[in-house]
Amino acid sequence: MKMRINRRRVAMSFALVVIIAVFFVTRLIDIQVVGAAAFNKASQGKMSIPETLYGTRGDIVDINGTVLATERMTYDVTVSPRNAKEFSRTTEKGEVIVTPQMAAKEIAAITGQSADGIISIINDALADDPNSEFAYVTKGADVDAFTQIKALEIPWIYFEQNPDRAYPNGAVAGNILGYVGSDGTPLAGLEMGYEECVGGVNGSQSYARGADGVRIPGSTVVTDGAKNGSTLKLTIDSDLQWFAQQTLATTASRENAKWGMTVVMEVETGRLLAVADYPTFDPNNIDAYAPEDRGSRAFTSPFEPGSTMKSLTAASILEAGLVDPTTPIYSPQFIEFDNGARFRDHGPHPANLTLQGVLRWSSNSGIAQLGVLLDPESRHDSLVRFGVGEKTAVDFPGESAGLLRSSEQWDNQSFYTMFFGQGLTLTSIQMASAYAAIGNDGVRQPVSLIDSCIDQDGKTARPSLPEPVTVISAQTARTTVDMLENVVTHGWLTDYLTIPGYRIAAKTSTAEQSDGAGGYSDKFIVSLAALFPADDPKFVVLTSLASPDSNSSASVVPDVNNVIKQIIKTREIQPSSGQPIDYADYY
Amino acid sequence: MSMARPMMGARSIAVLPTPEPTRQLHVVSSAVGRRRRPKVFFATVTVISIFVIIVAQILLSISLQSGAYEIAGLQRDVRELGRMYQSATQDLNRMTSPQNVAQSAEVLGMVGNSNPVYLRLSDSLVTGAATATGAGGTLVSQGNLVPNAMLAQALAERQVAATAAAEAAAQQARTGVAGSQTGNVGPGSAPAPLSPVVAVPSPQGLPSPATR
Repeated sequence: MKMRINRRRVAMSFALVVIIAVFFVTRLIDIQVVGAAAFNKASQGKMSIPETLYGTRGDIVDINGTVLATERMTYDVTVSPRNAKEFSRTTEKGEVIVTPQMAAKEIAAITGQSADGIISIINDALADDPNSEFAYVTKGADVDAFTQIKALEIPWIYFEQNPDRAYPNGAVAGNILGYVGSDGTPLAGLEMGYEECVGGVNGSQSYARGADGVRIPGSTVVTDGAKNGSTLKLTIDSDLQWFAQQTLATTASRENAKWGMTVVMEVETGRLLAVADYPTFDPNNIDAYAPEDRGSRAFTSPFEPGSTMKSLTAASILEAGLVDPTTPIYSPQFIEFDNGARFRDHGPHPANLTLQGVLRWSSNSGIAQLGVLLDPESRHDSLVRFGVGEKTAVDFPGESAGLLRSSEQWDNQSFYTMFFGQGLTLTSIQMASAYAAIGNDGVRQPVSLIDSCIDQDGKTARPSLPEPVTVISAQTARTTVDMLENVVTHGWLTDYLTIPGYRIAAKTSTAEQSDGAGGYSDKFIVSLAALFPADDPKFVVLTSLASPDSNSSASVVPDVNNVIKQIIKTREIQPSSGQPIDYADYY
Repeated sequence: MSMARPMMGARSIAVLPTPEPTRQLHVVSSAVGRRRRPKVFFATVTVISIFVIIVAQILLSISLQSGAYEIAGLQRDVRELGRMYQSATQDLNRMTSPQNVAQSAEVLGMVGNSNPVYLRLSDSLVTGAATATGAGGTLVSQGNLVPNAMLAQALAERQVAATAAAEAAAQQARTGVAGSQTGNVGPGSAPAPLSPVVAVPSPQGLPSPATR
């Protein structure tokens, strides 16, 4: 009997265990296999919340670390129109009922909209769809506005945050900085050209959330790490840049000029300290500017430079040993060459000029007659050494190389006019670089606009630059600078450009510009290129202005003068010493 | 099984000559009691352990929960502080922008000398030609020609704030007048006295170094 009882018990227990096991296995299969997909889907939606990790864009700073472009968070204020009803708010005076009109008025006071405007946004959305859950009140509100609106605690107002680009100094260097689109895509300027340095890469992560909406600790899974952009440091000095832009804009608006630019370059390093463009462009407010004014003409718009080119021609023929500063040349007002090329000088002057006199009076006939002493091949080579016809080392987005045809392609007219800067084109940066070579003992340093790219860990990467090019000998360079200084001291420039105590070498230009139809228009591009201090040049200042009312290079002289004074003051340049060799203008 | 053992015991005792029913029951009960005691002990230990584990788990869960809330709270603080930092940086950058500095200097009546002029202290020699800047001769006299949308926005905000402050001040002045009439001076209506300005004595003009 005892055995029977035991066996029954064992059997019952076993059966029970089997039943329970079968139940569990069935349920397990049901969950893990049959309903697995549905459960997974449901859990994904409810528990795993994806998040974008924003890789912030790097700053763009000037040589002193002043922030020119930075990343900031802006906020889109949105409304749930169907929930836009009155609500109660607890204040010091107790419960207050706030109507949508009152709330709209409060928001409007912060965003600068009208209360009616906000109400109509809500009503329009409801008219389209009575169950509307979403409409924008305003986009791109800054952090202050966001904080204030959030403090109103309006239950039907929501926020979306968007990283946005901000330019705290506005239009200072705006033309070269460029801008980014609303989706963060760089669209122009250095923002685009140096995306590799400043661009951030967004990542993603997900986390789980409990039923109460609180993130479950330790549940965050980074699926794709974000990478922040590096800081792009420019060679630009933002204070000088502002000064150059302000003074250029003053001159240009007085002269009703179409456009203009001022370039300041350090002679010994080829570094650009200021690249001012007119009209100026504020990248905070892209739509307010015409597309053609949003870039930097100094880099992208080459033009026939005119007489500033004569300095390069003079340096080339001096270097070849064909002339010296006092070589006489009969320079008539009008000249016609054997090949049919003919042109006249800009203003009346004596005809018995030396090379120095040719520069001082800016005689086209004189420089053309002296220039042809050099064979075409050497002329072309010399221009190439000066950097004409090739892009600068900056490689600015959309930068132009200008136009320099090979010597076989020169037509009869431009064969001569190239000596005085017509029939070939240069950008302002190229011309400034050529003058810097003359100022730097004949050695042309590669132009640089980027100092370095500094990553998050402080690692500094400098752009690789080509080797300096020896354009002319130091002796030729010195003679050319002396001649250009005599241009100032002998001529009308002396009254406008001279700064007591300082020596300045300069050359003006009043260049004819293309009318776009194969001829020349009746408006000029006027320029002044200056090297200072002339005893040991440290800086090039070059200003050009298109179609000024006065049609005279005198219009840009005060501009260059102001910039030079500013450099002297801010960089504490010591007064100059010595005198240039005083070459005679006439024979 | 536990029921079977006392029965077996009863049978072996029955072989003895003088069986006593009451005593027999007593022994059995004491034997059962002695054998059962450890089982109750283990059961109690198990139950208590389970209970302790449950309590510990609940406590751990509570502390984790409150930790999660704390983390969420701190993260919110970080965000808030981040916003404040951004707001302050934004203001600082706007205020230090050259447009603002130049205009503020102009408003304060500062004029940049157009020519660089130096004064050598040792022999009072002036190098360079000091020329007075005429009316409208300053760089920003024609207004700021290098626009800054961010600064314009900040200036507008500052203007609103200034108007609000002026209104508040006017309001306070009215309250202050009313207060003084009743003999009570409201808080903030009496500015702290300024410390007297001490002039630097300079009997012989500009100080100049004696060494040459």
